[in-house]
Amino acid sequence: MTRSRLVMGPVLFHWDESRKIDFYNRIADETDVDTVHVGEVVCAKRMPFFDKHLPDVIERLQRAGKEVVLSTLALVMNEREVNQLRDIAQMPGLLIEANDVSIVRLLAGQTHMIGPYINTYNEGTFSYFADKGAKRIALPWELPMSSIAKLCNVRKAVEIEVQVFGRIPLAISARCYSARAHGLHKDGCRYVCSEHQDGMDVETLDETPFLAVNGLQTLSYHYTELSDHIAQMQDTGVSAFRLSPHSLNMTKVSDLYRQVLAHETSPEELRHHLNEMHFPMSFADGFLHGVPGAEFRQTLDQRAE
Amino acid sequence: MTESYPSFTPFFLANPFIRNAPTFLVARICHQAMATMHHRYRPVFERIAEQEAFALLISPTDLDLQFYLKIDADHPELRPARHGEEETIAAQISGPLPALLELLQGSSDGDALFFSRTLRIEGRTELVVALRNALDGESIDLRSAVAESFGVMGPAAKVALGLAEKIYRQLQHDMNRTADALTSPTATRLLGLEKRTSAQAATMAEIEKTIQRRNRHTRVKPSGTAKDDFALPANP
Amino acid sequence: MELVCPAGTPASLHAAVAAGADVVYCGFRDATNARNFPGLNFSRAELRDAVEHAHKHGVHVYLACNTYPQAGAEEIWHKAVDDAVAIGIDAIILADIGLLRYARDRHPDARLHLSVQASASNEEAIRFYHQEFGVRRVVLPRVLSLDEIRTLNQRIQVETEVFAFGGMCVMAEGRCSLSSYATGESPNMNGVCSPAAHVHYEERGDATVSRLGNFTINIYDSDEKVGYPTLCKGRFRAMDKSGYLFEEPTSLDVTAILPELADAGVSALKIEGRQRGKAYISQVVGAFRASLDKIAKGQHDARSKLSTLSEGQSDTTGAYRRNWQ
Repeated sequence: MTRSRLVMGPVLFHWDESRKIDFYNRIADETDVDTVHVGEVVCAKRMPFFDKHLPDVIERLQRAGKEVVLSTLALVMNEREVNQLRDIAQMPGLLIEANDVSIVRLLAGQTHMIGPYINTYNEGTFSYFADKGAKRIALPWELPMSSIAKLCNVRKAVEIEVQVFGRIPLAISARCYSARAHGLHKDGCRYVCSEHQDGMDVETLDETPFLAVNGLQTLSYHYTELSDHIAQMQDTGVSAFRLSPHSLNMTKVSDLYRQVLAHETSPEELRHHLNEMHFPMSFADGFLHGVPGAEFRQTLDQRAE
Repeated sequence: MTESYPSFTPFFLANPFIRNAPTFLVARICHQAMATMHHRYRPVFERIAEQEAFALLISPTDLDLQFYLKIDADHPELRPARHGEEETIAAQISGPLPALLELLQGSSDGDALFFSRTLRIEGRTELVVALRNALDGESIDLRSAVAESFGVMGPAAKVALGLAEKIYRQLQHDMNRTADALTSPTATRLLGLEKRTSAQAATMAEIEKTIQRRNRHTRVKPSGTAKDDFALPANP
Repeated sequence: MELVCPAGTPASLHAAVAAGADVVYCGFRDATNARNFPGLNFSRAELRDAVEHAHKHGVHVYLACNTYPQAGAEEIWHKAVDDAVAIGIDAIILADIGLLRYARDRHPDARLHLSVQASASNEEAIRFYHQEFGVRRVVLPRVLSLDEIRTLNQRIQVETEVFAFGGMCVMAEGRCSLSSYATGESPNMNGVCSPAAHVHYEERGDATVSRLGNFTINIYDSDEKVGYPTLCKGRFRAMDKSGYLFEEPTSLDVTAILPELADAGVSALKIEGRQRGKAYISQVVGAFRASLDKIAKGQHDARSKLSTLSEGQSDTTGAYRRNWQ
């Protein structure tokens, strides 16, 4: 069996520059990750902070043998943002991840990948992107295993990627909820989203943990954890497995998932180690089972009522 | 299910009669009305009961009477509700009879009535939504349906109904005026106090239940949530 | 500006036609449309009759086939497109790229519109759908401001349609899995958001609690207006505060800015609410018809008379004013 690709997804949160640089350096030097995503996906206002460091970060990652992917904005709303996409599409030698169809047209003819923010729900859409030169397609988080299996049947040479760890992006808006929670408008946001390194926890009025807010983005409170299904996904044809960065020790996390991908450790063992990291996490895998995404079923045989 | 305060509509005045009316008569009228509805608007029943038959409890808040409504493509049923029937009921709709009748005829928007809290729904909301959607998909003419229910008396019934409607509108007008007069500050306060006492008892019972149900939720916010901490200043 | 009105049932369609709609949009009674609610939508025969009735009155009918086909079940969506064309629908509203390609290949003459569910929020995205699939109109996502819409219209070759009245998504449409996170069913896959089958109301003393799946979406005091527990319009807690973190339960009403929308180059106004009753349709369509007719005569009355029909009975111009963000 060919080795599965282990992917470090883009940093979704507004970490400060030194934390981010340190993060990428450690991923470059200390992990067995194959692919690393850089670039801002959530909010264009955050871009100026890190853009200046990008060339160095990319170079260091490439020197360490990592494939570097530049992820693009999920919600593109104005001319300035469109122009940024045009510039990105011109960048030579970098694999670009399209997270909005606006850049798909600009990338026609060059090797690129389709990100999970683009709605690839069925064979027809999958084949369209494959025909247009997508090398890899990261599937939307909402897809159940039954759909993933159907897409694997038509994948041909295209790699299929699924996120197996981290909070799940559930929605994106023009409105900034971090700013709103602080009594601010987006235009004068003071970058308050940086106060929450893994997103701002949102509870119901009954104090049940529910969601996490990250600026324009709303994530799940739960951390998706799909190690129970990795072997099955590998058999079905999924070849790339994404970890979404959080503020816990991602070097350790990537080691654990590499071991599961290589069948050297069990999902129980992996969760045992995750729980020992003293980082508050509850797990979910409901989307894969076609039940509420917040649920955690572990075995695929259990179905909703 | 919920105990509601009576709505002050002209139907409220009918309560003494309804209370004393023989049950069989009410049941008979209901049966006749349903038979007519089923005959005239069969597609409605087919549309809703496409997946399953189910029963609803209709609680007009201005009548001392609740109705059991069974939605079934072939054998629908409408009759006064009996005690101990709650188990078989999928959902309950409560509201003043005029609002319920408007809903039936599609002359008032169900969502709007619901947003303004005129109607309350408990239980399986999707079935009530299905009923509402199916009813709305037909042009239900209650007046001619009622007339038809009375068979040969049709034309006479129509005249009587027209007269009844006129009296009803006059009554409604008078009662609204009475209600306005009643809502003087003292009356409001007294009514409010009484309401609050019984509500507090209910709240306590609910809190106890909630605490038993889930250990992790030690604090319960039954009310006082009206404020919105996230509201931003209005548009400049 | 063309007035595009919703119809969840044949009776609503008749109401919309009578109230002065230029176009009525509806969907088939299955998962192919984004209002897949119980008791709602059209059978093939009903749609055929509806189109005939509308055309007789000079009104067009669009079919919304705007969910994302499920892998392994694409024929259901393909059949919906084929049947709509056979019935003689005036335009098909689509969101899925695979389905757009199918429609373009099989029915090159069919008029295709891009659904708001595709969330095409910028000129490059619109250009993509136009060039690849010949889309002739784009329904803009409810995230753009008036200025952004104006700029957009200067740069694209296709018509734009914007939402004028009704429920409002605060999240980019077609990019939201909040509903399936709580209930397992989503707009993209099932054509439903916060579906009624997962909604429960509980009386808790004087308060009414609305729940969606296992989550409390709101708690209303006795004197408050109750709304449907659409997930993003609920009250939540964050940072020791509680309230409407995402959006108050308001509804969109652009009556006040109709002339500005026309000036920004918008071709059509869309009224939301295929799940609402015919009483709603008559009132809203009638009011907008009157406003548009007045504007055509050079008059404009910015006041709206529709607030009792709104969720929470309050209105907003939403994202059209930038400070909404």
